[in-house]
Amino acid sequence: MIGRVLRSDLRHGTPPLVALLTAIAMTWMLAVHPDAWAGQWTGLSTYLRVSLLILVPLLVAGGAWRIGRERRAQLDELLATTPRPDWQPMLAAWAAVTLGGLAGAALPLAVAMILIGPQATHVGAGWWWTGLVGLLALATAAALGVLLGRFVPLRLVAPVAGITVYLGLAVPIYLHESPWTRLSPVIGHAGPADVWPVGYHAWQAAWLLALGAVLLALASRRWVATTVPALIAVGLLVVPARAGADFGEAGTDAGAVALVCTDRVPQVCVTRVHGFLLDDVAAVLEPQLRRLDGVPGAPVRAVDALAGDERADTLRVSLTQQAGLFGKPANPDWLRAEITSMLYDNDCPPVPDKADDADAAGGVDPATSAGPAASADPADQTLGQAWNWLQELPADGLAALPGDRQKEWIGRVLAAARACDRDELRKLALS
Amino acid sequence: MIRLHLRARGVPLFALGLLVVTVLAAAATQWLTTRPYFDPVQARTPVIAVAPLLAALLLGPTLAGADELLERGTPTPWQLIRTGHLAAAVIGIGTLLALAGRSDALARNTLGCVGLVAGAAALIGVRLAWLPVFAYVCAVYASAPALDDRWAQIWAWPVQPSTAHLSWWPVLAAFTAGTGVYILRGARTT
Repeated sequence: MIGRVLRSDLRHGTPPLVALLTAIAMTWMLAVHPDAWAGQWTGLSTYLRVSLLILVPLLVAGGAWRIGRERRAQLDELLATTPRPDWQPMLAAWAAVTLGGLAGAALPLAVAMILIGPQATHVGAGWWWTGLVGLLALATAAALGVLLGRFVPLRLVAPVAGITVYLGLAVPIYLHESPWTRLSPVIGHAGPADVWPVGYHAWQAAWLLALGAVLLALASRRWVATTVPALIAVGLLVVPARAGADFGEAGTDAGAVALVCTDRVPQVCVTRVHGFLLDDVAAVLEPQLRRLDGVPGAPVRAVDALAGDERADTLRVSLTQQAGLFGKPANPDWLRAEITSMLYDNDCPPVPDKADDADAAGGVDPATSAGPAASADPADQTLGQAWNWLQELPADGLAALPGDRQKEWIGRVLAAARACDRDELRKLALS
Repeated sequence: MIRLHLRARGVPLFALGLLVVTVLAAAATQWLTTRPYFDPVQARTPVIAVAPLLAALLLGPTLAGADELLERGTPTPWQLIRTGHLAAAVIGIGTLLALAGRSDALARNTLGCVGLVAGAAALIGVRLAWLPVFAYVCAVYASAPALDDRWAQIWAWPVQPSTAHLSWWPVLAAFTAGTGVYILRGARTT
């Protein structure tokens, strides 16, 4: 009986619309941030959890809309006179909306997996747990929608519930220090090497299953049947209450941050999770490192910043926004500008009367700017000339010096920039 | 007569809903603008986009009675009543939200969202009048458009700051067209 209702619903009811909207939303989310998942299995599963911020409200709205169908058609009283148990059509409606949402999300995720397959250079242990919990969250979201649609007899319950759930999921993202935010399946921020223990995933899966069962039992007005999953859910709440702020904190996947290097000099290394970018990153950075050959104190190798290599002779390169859809760097201009980070990313104290943090460091944000900011301060002018030299742009004054003097001057500028010594930078200003 | 009109259209429920939205908008504005990690200008964007949308969604069902055809058979100046109904709603929503969120953009978005809901009520009926504005604002919000792009100031008006002057033009157009067609024709009857 349920099977027939389910098949009919999947063909003609709200679920096909839910599937379409979920597919559009998932595709959109994947399209706007390919750097978060391209070439990375762990990245894809984590990004699914980020996307739940949009998908869960959609499923809640879908569930509420579907369950209100009989009421909108004024058939609810008629259906209540039939001998069919109350929970059967409710369960069929929930299953149909859940299947619609899962099918809608599965299609773009499958395309993403096909793209990742040939590129990925690291397969983290248990990465699929993160995604599995995300899919369970969609089922729980549909159950919440069914409950709200059942008990709130308003025409607008679907959109209002969707927006309210969106806001309810968005706020905990900014309260990540509280263990109670782990009750939400949405992950706000995660790095490409972040992993969670299997026990935490298992706890979240159990919590979502128990919550879903409670919501469905309440929606079908089976008060006694609500008791068992409700007790389990309350029991599961003890875990974050006891664990404190560290509960659900991500760890680092040691395999993901292991280095993969070129076997040439100067050496370029990326983490294994970014291994598919190595050839393209090396093609950009090797000529720049060769140009620095002979500069006193200049880096002799480049390493993915994700590895946390703090050695002084190493240029740290951020690749977290570089993964492109087809395995190529998404922002090669940013990659070319990374070499200038030696001038500006030295954790120097803010300079008074500077407008923002980038200026406060003594110059510009190398990732987004085309060149150094114009400034009357000789220290900034020195940094600007060094910037131009590193980017192989015309550097007035510096170009008049012989090649070895240029390298010596650049070496002194790098040392002063590292030491945040603006007086020394002013002394080094070239007329 | 006015009390009967308001009760027949579920205005008390709408007023209660608007009160809840206003309180939430005030609380959200206070919270967002006091977070050190948010840009003070852009921190209000969720409130600016969502609060007028919610208020306009709640307004939708009040734009028609239980039996529009029956009502229109009575010798009543319906165009005048519809004008007064919308004017009171816009002034009420716009004033409350602008005060709660401390931003003119909330008044602008109230005009835009009410215009779209009223227009949709006239064209597709009040049952689904919430759908176009809901889909549009959600799509714009999800697309996170640039704030300094001239075209984005026009098509992405729901998330623009009030100082984006171009964003007012599509809003005024939507409000004029939407409320105009609703006042002239009333909600579509099924």
